[in-house]
Amino acid sequence: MRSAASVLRPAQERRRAPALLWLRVHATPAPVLATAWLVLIVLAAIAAPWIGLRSPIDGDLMDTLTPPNADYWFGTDSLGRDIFSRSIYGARVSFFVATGSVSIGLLFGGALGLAAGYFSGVVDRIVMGAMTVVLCFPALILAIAIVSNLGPGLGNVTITIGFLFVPAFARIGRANTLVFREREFVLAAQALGAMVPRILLREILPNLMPALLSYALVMLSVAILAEAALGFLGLSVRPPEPSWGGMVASERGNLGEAPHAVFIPALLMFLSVLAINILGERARRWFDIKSQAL
Amino acid sequence: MRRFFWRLVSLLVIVAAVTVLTFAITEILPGDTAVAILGESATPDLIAALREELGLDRPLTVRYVEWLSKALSGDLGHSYRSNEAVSRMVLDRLPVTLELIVLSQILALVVAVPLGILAAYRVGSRLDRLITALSVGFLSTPPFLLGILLIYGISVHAGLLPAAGFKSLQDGWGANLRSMLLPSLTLALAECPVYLRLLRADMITTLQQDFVLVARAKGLEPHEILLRHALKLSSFSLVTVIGVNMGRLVGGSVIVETMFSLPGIGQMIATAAFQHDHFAIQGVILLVAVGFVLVNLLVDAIYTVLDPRVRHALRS
Amino acid sequence: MPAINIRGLSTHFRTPRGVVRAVQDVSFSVGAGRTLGIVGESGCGKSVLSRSILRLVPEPPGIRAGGEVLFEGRDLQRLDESALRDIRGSAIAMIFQDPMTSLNPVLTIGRQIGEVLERHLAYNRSKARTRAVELLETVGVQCGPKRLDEYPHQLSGGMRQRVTIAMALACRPRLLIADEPTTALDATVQMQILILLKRLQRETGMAMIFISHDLGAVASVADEIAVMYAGRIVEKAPRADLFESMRMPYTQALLRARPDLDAPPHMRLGALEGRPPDLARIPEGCAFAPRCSHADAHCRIGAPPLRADGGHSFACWKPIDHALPAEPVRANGDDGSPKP
Repeated sequence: MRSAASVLRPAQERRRAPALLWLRVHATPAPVLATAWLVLIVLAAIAAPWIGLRSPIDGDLMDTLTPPNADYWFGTDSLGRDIFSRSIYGARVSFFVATGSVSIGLLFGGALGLAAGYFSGVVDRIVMGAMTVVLCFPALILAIAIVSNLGPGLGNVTITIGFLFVPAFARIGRANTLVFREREFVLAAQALGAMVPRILLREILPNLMPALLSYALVMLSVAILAEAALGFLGLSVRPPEPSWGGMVASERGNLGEAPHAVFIPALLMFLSVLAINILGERARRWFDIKSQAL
Repeated sequence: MRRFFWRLVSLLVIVAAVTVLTFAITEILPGDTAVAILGESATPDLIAALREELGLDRPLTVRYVEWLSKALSGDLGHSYRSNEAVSRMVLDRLPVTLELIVLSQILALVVAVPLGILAAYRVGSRLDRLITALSVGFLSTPPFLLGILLIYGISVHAGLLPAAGFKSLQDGWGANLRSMLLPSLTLALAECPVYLRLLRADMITTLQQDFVLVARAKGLEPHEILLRHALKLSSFSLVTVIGVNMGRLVGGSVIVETMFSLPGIGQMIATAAFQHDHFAIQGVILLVAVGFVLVNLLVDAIYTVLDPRVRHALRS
Repeated sequence: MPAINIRGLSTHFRTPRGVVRAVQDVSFSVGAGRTLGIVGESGCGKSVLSRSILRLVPEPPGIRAGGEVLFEGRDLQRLDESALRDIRGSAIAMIFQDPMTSLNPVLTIGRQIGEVLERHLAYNRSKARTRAVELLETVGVQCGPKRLDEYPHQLSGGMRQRVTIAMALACRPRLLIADEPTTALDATVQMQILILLKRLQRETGMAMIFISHDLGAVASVADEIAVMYAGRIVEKAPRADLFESMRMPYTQALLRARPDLDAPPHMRLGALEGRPPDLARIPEGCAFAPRCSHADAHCRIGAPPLRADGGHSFACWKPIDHALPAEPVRANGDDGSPKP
């Protein structure tokens, strides 16, 4: 055991100069690798239809559960479909749902939070009350119920997850609006007779963005995990369209003979979520430092 | 007393709002229940007949009031698929899910508490960085992947534990625990990083407090300072998060029960959702949400009793 | 033989801005039953000094940069951690500034006093409780055993400080280090605590190091006073000596910063002009020179050594030649506060 004296260390560490931290944030390999991975997989996902992939849907039933080889880089699944191609198309679904749902959460949640924080009183109570009710439901359960009603599909899954993100963004938006509402530049704009929309959009919103965006980054990974969970339950895109969660679910019966069919899509998803979390962690720390410097 | 009264009022308001939202999800959202049941290829005549049979042709408010009054008397409707009473289905499956959740909470805390304390105590050390990195890793792993890894390693390869299948308590404690171990471990591994990160952050703050310096000046051993002085204070936020986390656990139980074929509420939700059994979903979700609200209320009450600062603030 | 003898103690901190020399080459000794007062502005290193004695400064970033702390034949700077823990709270005890934060809010005061007895004297729970009641009575907390089950927030600030004193005295320490024990308290409560400390010292014969930025508070309890500036002791003398013939312009400035010596001992040193130097960038020459009205070019070149003149030592190139106009130093007013 190191001496009990070291318990007081964090206080000191936090006083590190921002410039030094910036170096630490950017010079370490993890965020660089994370960024590289995300760029690679997002580019592949976007370009999927044009890079000469095999069909992700039609399989060769003569060639099922083959392990990775020169022909099938990631092998084939139980229906003889190319796992490489399915994984890339699965990434398309994951990242579409992630960006779409986070955008929905950011847009609606941010707007509601802004309104609740700025107007306070009745608006605040109604908005935040509604958010509290949504938060009364375990998120995944609510997602399952909504998707089951809307029916599975890319759009419905995106909307559902986006809806579930609204309360969290609203809370963050509100908390930060409350802080900035009393700041001099806002009071000055009010005194100069600026219109409310102008104050909200020009004076307050830009100041909310760091908090909302760094949170949005973290929520991207939550969205990917949520989509995967729905996919696993057969509630994401309709089969035979590939999604990472769906691929894992449909192939897990063959875990003993063909583990690659399960672990490859799972690994891609894990790496993507990990990459986002690493970047999110850095962004949060970086943002903390900046907000301390204010 | 006044506080208790307002607490009760706000609880009632919230529960009422929860029933509205539950009803709204299934009834107002686009997506016709009758179509969902019969499939898209059904003829309009068939759909109209079913709508009438289910009472879907009546006004929304009438149906809500009827649904709510039935629900209050314990009648949550019947599964459209099995025709079983939803309340019966839930009651039959509740013990399995509760066992799963309790076991996984215990497992998660058993791992998270010592590691969180250790990481906070030696903050910035190699050990701390390892623990932090691992917790980010586990946080990035979906529960079903954890489950599959466990199945692959422990059941398929080592053949130590069953990969699926549930043994109830009637089959004996040992058999029951054997069948619950992998599912609980899966869920615990997913929850562990949440507790660990919270406890670490909280303990780091606590360890900077003056009374820790005083405790050191008193000559107390590190374990006394960490466990008696610091953990006691940090445990209050841990209690709160355990409550909030129940939601995550119920969500996780849907995945884990599906994966390990455990006949619990999670599996019921997954099956009902997959089969578009809307009445079953409606009923079970209402129960889960109300249960979740009550659990959090309970956690809040426990917190109030445990924390002397709050306890005395209330009394005076 | 002194109870504690400190020789050339230095404590530094490694920070991104460079090495901070919080305590530099400090020497003093305190005899049993005697009190050394250490006075200085905030940021002069006196708190770090008080924590360095029992090695409570976190390492890293703290560095033990040399010197020895001789206590009962052992050098605390080189003692291993577990032997040091046996001394902390038993032979040497500490009291801290803020009684609000010095006590754990979620443990009962009985528990917090009792744990010292259990740790050092191997008392069991019930024996510790009995003793805790006695201790609380000693420090003037009217107390049945019921008090023991109260939490810190149920007590007033003065009561809490009494509890921390009871905690410190639980094992009859030979040395008590009091780091600004009265700063966070009201004027009247301050006085009571000072009287209490003095009485307890008389009864137990312990040595005491009393640290404060309040020259008045220090004057009312200390036999000898050391003035700290920028991590060093810049003047040290028996109490009466110091007030009668102070040599350091800094000490004089400290005294003048108090609007009225007869005022209750809680006045801050607000009137002293300028700020103490950044301990990572201590200026060459005398650290006080930039703020000193006596300073000349010489003062800015070399650091003055601590010179002894009988029992009176000071570190100054341009010491004050004669004492202040004779004004009797009254220790804290008219309530019969104890004077050694």
